[in-house]
Amino acid sequence: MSEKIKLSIKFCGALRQYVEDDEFCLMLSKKTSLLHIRQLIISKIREQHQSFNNDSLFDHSAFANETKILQEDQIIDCDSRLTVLPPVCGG
Amino acid sequence: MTKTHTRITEKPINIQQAMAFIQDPQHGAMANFIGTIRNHNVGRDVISVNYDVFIPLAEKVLQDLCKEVRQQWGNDLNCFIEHYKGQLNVGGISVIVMISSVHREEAFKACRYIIEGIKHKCPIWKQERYVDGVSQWVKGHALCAKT
Repeated sequence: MSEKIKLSIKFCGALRQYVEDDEFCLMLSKKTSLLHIRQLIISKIREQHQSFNNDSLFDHSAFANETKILQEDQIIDCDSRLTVLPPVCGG
Repeated sequence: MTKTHTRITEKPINIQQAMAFIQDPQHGAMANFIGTIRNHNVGRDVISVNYDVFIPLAEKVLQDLCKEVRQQWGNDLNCFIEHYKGQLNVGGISVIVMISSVHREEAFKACRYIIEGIKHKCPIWKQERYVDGVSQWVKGHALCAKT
């Protein structure tokens, strides 16, 4: 039985509309890549929103922790908190 | 000693406070950018904008921008940057970038660099509300390579 880790994911900007309380949790196998996590998130959103058709927004969103943007090939191997950042437009 | 102030704020941005902070008897130049909410965008009439911010990373990006401008244009720059989080009506101040330096060239360039950095790198998003009651998130710049 593969070891599981807990991933808490927060959403920002236009992504907030797809989750309750702007955050949800995933239980994953240890050593999951962000690329795979992205696909899992889209699948979960699609389960909850039958009419969801905004894959492009997720495809163009970045994963980050509190200090940096994470690379797509990064492997998550422990309980973590991540934030998904859609394309930015401050100022 | 150089001065740096970077903050995401939910209080009204105060221009006089920024000027008081940035002033330096050794500096002969102050350059600033003040962003305000305008009443139109892409052909629609805007009544307000709501800013969402991922604060911890945003404040780090602002600090990094200050380091970058000092690397390029001198360690003696003073920097004051604030960006608003929350709802603003038309005319409200969303962002202020204020730089002081010995001469004007460095202040102008650093100021421009920082506001462009905020627009392209800072985790901030805006949702416009229009006169017809509809709200829409503004399209932006991706922080990741397209998958």
